[in-house]
Amino acid sequence: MEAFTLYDLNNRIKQVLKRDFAEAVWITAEITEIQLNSSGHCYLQLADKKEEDSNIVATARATIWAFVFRTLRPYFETVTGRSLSKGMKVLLNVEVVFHEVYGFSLNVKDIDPTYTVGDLERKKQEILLQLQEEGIMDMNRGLAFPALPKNIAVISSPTAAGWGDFRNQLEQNPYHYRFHIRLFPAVMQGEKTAESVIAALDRIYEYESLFDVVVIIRGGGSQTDLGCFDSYELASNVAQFPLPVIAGIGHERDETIVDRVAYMRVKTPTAAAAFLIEAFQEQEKCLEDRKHRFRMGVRELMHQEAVRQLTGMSGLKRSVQALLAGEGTSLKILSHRVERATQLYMGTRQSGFEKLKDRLENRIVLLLERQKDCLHRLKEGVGQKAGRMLEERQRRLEMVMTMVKYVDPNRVLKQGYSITRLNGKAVRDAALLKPGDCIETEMAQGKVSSKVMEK
Amino acid sequence: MNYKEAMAEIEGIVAQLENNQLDIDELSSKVKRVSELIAFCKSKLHETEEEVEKILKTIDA
Repeated sequence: MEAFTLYDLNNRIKQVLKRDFAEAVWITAEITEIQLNSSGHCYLQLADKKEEDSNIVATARATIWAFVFRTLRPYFETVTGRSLSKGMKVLLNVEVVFHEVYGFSLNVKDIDPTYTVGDLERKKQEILLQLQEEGIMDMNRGLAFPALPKNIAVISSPTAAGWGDFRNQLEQNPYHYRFHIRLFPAVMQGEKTAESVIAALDRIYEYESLFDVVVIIRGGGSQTDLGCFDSYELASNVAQFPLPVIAGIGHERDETIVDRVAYMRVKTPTAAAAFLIEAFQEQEKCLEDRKHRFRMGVRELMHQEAVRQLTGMSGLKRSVQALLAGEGTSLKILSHRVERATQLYMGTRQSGFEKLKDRLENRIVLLLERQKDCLHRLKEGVGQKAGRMLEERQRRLEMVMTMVKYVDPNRVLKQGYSITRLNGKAVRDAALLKPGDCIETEMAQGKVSSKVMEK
Repeated sequence: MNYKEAMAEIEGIVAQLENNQLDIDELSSKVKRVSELIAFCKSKLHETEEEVEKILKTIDA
């Protein structure tokens, strides 16, 4: 049996490969390991996976020699904004190498960063989509920013320059604002970043009620070592964190996913500090403004009150004046009315009087008339009576006269009777005569004187 | 009371004042209250709180 030496075998393989792979070829692969050594060479472990992260179907070692890497690296980093890192899919131009001692490997001559960009972008979009679908994309942004962001939890590397800057700026702010700052240390670059930051978030979560805001500070360090901040895990944690997260990851280029889900993104740690100080300034301004409005309001109120008093007084004065004037007017009116009323009254009275007077007059007249009448009647009556009396007398007189006629002495005389008179007085009683008396006897014709001789 | 509540209360009183809902009798008590609240808010801006400092020290980060 013919046996080759291993050297022979390897050599033969080497020749075959050299012949069949004379030219470099472009391959796509995923970096599963990457290491830089001090001499500047880059050692990679590549793999080919079927459907993203499932089964590895091929692996190979690859080397980027320092003199190649020197130019390759900045080129790659410029285009992608990232540095070569684990998990990245790359498009490499490789030479197949077979070394008797070191075996099969690939020698990287060139790289096409756009392939990586495309891949990274694709991955990023996938993650963004996933976060979107889970409804957590805008959760942190939807939080209410505290009125006063006074208590601050910082996630950073203790040695990072960015952390120092941030802290100094807050502690030495010219407005004498005071903050409470606490560092929660974490690794801020490399593979372990996502894991480390998530752990820090977990620790902060225990004191959620104490802190007002979380600030993630990276600052300094490679601008391109940010792939860790595109991690789904980390982004998911940040998005769902109950306090607003300010991402001061500090880079010029594209947003990382953490940037996208954080409450707010700032370019530098200094900018984060400035933002917090500004928030305080806003509050101070608001406070001053309210103080001012209050003072003005109080002054206004006092003024109004004073005016009210004054107005009240002068109003009162005017009221009184008006009242008096009104009274005067109304007095005048009243007096007019009284006058008129009086006049009317008097008028009425007067006419009343008149009427009364008239009535009285009438009465009197009537009365007088009546009296007159009476008198008249009386008079008449009297007259009548008198008349009657007179008549009566007359009748009597006549009667008498008649009687007299019958008793006329002359008649009687004529009858032969005579009237004997003693001293001119008729004598009826002979006893009255004494002898010697001189008596006169009247006869129907003539008289005779005689002396009494005897009775 | 926290800062937010204090600021809200101040705004409330100032709004009342500006809408002529305060009368002269309440004024002195309101002035006192607002002064208290403003002092409280100012201290929140310019002073550290012992309580918080104490707790921060105990955190094992």
